[in-house]
Amino acid sequence: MPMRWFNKIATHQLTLLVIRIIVGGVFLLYGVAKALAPLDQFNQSILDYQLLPEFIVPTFAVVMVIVEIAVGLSLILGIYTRYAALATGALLIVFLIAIGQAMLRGLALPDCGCSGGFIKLGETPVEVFVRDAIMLVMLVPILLKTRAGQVAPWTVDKWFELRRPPKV
Amino acid sequence: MSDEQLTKKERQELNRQEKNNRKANEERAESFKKIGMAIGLVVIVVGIVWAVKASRPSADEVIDVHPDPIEGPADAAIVIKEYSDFECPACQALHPVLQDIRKEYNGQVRFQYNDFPLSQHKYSTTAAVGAECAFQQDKFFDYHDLLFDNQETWAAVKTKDEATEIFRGYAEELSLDMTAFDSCTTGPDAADRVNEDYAEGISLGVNSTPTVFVNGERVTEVPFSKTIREAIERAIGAGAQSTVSGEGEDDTSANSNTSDVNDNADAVVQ
Repeated sequence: MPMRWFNKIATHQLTLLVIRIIVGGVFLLYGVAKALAPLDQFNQSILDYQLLPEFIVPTFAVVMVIVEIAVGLSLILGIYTRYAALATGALLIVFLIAIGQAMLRGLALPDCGCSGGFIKLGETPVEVFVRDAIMLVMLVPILLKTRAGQVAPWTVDKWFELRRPPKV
Repeated sequence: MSDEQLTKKERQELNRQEKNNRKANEERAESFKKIGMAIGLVVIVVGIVWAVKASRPSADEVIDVHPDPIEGPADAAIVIKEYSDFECPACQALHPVLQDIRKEYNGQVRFQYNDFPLSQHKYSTTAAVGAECAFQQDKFFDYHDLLFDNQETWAAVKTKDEATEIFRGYAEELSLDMTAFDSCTTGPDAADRVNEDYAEGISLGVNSTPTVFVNGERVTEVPFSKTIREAIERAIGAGAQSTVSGEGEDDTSANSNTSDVNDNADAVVQ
């Protein structure tokens, strides 16, 4: 019984909209912040994680910025909402692995690189880890709602669906 | 009869195919529109960001949001701008180097200090705020020297309160007006100035400390004792080239001017 209530609230159209705006907004804003900040700083942050070889980092940084902006926009507006949510989830898992391994290896992360040094929130790696994990969990209702070709409400997807000629 | 049936079947089949085709076309058009929309928006956002970034002032043109602590003549031809963190050991190591350089080029250089406290340093922001408050009482550089000279002492204390107490002690040592100092360190203005300095550094692409600009040219290579002097000589050379004559300079610098001009001329010829 309480599970049903939980489901009802979690997949309520307002909840879904709020989740999309929050998670998509975080990705969009951080993507824009990274793009605005000098790229060397983001490069340095990526290097601090000691996961990627140095020669690939500048390309990776640019791709990352564009992907984050694209994913954020798609999630907020609901363009291929399910795929946007899946991509966001995949990115978050990558971030979690990156931060997790840095914590385990005891690497010093002066900055998580989330905003590419544009803003200095002074978050600890643990705080960033928790924040990313929360966002990952927040995606679950969207994935539940968009199972089996269903379309989430208040999205561009829905708008296109409504415009389709009725099936005879 | 059978002929008619066949055509009917065929017609049905045709109709179905047509419907399927139309549906597929509609779906394709829809995904084109959606993907186009997403790509278009991303291009717009990235374009706006790029435009904003391109319109940002470069190192030369950055206008200071507030007066920074300055040492040396206001009209000096060479401006050394340092972004530094009082708790960073490399900044402490640079401190005597810069003191020597300022002495060496006395009268020719203006030194400008900017705060860039890194988040991994526990007390560097508090130290920077203290220095800003000393600056309000025209004792910035004395305070700055004390902070660097005693970095090991205050950086090692356990709590922020202890550090604050030490910073207060330095103010007392310099016989600052303690009422003004206390209200300054607890008020928002000094902290704002530190943050403004940090933001200014970010806009110039500063990402580590110490970062030094000599007339807008970023010097990152170590040893700083060599690279900063080289950058100064280059700046003097550039100045000598544009103003043609060096007035009232001593022999050595005049020599270095000419040699630099020659170097540049060689480079152009080559």
